[in-house]
Amino acid sequence: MRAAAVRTLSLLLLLALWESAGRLWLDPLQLPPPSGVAARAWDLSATGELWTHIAASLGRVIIGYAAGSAIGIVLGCFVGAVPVMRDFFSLPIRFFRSVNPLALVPLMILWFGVGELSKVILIAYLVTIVVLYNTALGIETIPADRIRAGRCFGLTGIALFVRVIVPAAAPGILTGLRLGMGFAVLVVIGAEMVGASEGIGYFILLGRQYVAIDDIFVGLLSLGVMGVLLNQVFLLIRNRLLRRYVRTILYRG
Amino acid sequence: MPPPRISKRTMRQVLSIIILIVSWQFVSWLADDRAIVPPVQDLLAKLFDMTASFELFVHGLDSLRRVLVAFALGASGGVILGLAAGAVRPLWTFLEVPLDFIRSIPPIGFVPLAIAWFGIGEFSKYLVIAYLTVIVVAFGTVSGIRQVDPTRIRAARCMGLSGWRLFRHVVIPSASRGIIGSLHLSLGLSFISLVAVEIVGSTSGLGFIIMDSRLLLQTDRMIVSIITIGVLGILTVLIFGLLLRLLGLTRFTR
Amino acid sequence: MLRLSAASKRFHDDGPWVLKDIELTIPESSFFCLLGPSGCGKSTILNMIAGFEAANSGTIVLRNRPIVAPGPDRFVIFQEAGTALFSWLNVRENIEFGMRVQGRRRAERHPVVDRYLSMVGLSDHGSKFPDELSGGMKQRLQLARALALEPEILLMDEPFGALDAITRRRLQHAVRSIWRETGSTVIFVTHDIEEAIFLGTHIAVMTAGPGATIKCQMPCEVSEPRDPSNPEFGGFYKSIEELIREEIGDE
Repeated sequence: MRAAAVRTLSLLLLLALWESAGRLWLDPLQLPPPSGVAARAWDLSATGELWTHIAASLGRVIIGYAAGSAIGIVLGCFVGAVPVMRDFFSLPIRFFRSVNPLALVPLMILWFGVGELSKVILIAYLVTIVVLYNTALGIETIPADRIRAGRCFGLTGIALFVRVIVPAAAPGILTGLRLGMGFAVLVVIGAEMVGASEGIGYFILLGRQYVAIDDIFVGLLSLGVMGVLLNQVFLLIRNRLLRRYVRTILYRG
Repeated sequence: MPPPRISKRTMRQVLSIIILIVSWQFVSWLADDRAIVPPVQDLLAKLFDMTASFELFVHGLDSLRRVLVAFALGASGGVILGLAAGAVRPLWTFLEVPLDFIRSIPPIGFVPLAIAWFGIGEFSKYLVIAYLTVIVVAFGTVSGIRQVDPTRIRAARCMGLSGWRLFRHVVIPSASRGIIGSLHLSLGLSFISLVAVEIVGSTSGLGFIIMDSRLLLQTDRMIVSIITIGVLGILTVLIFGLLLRLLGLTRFTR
Repeated sequence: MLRLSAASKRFHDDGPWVLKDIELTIPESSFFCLLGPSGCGKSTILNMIAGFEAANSGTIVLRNRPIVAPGPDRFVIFQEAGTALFSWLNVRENIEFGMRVQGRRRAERHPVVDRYLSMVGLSDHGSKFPDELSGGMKQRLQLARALALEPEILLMDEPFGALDAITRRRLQHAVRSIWRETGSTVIFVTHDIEEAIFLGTHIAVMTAGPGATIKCQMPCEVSEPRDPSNPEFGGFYKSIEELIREEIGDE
């Protein structure tokens, strides 16, 4: 309780400091105070402009993420469970993982245009790689005795895979899904800054071009709130619905 | 002399690379436009050109400098902040929420703000690359300090250690594992931020070359730069690990 | 002499008593085994003597001075050696650490390290790191690290509980000969009756918790060499087993 009070207090203090800095010492055009940012956010959401951009970014993220995580889990199970595939995929995966995600933005736009396709493909590709890698790793690192225990129950093949291997690899899969979410948001903003006509990234860049710093702040705050909410939704699903599969993460030791 | 034995594993790995290259060539043939999907021989030729003209070297060096300077600044700041916040609990209660919020914003979002405030010079670039390192390392340091095993603290207290001496001789070394882990992580992240600042507002560096190639439709030049950044990232992380080993810091990761 | 008088402990203000009116007299240079059923609060007594936990009431007095905080005159050998040892220091450095932080000079430290290294039989492993040692070796290292500070009292909290039977027996022999050699007091917590009889000069049996007390305290005068197959050893074992069975019943 005391910690919560100190946290609330710290946020209030920070806002007060920021407000007075914007009003008293610095040019409010350079550092818009929270009240100004809030007013601007209100205007932008009243006209629906802010929501258009948020919806555009979120839509891209959700479609690309859904596709990428589905492909990543399926491929990851395949690679992790079949030893021959592990050998075949290990170097290519290492190569693709080391490619800088933002560096691919211009390439994707060059190949697939400035439309939706390039962004969705890029997000899906990045999510696939990170989910694939972590799923395969999760399966490879299952303790051998756990799989043997499953076989003692007479499980083999698909039944063993579905009932023992996938649940045991769940922490790895979920790690991949969480990292993938971060990459998806990062790269969609990058893509929207390099070539788009809507989306939060585009909106922030526009703010820079018109030297409307309050717009930049509104964009950044929306991004932060979006990131926090997406993470909370993820944790909620993981810790409520999938709790039994991640006990080793939640209660380490 | 017996012939060198090559394991099945190695053979498969070599084969996987060959398959990768052949598929690329196939896609290139399918696309039927060397300018858009350049085959491997074109990429190699471009790599040779860009090396010979020192373009890769000059811009690679610019990128590397940005990462290294920003990482050094950010890492020092992060460790100092983390140690202070780990020692003084209210300080962290105060900082945790705002820092966590800032961390949840992708670094590329801050590029326009940094440019608007500090111009397109090097300072704004260092700032964008360094701030995330500060936060990541501070979080790593604090959680490293929090996770020191109580048994170890008790053992140290048996030796008469307490207060600052306990912190210096036992808590910091025990937390070093977490600190070093977060340094590795943030070095990797620094390369992502590097590309962020270079594709949005820069006139030099490999990220700039990538954007420049897009305008000029030079896919080969773009791909060579993308791979160079990747290689630079791997090498830097590798050298960082080597440096830790040379400095005898790996003992803290046991 | 170490004396606990009416020492009681609970962890929350309105919580149940974990220990109630503990009376213990531990003579100097004795090998004192504290024996009791699992979860009765043996370790809590040890932690109070070490100074990690304060008693809610009663007194704990070492040579007429009350114990208020941990100090180098009492050293704990923890069960989890892996976490208690300093993972970033090798075997020699772990032993040296205590003397280093006490500000003793390098020239002074090295002979001490050598001495205890050979006493616990780790002379060939001086440059290894803790994670490279077996469980038994880790406990030997903990012992050497404690001995190097020459504490008056060694507090051992089920130190061999996680070891295999053979390693365990070898370490029991080692601890006993080290105790003879150094003349320090050892307070040894265990739930293993045989271990207590094999090692102790005194045995105290605790009642089952909550609100555990000392059921009885007795000298352990089984003749040397102590051998579990000896009828005298067996008879003593039976009588203590009976005391403990009264506490936990025939589960």
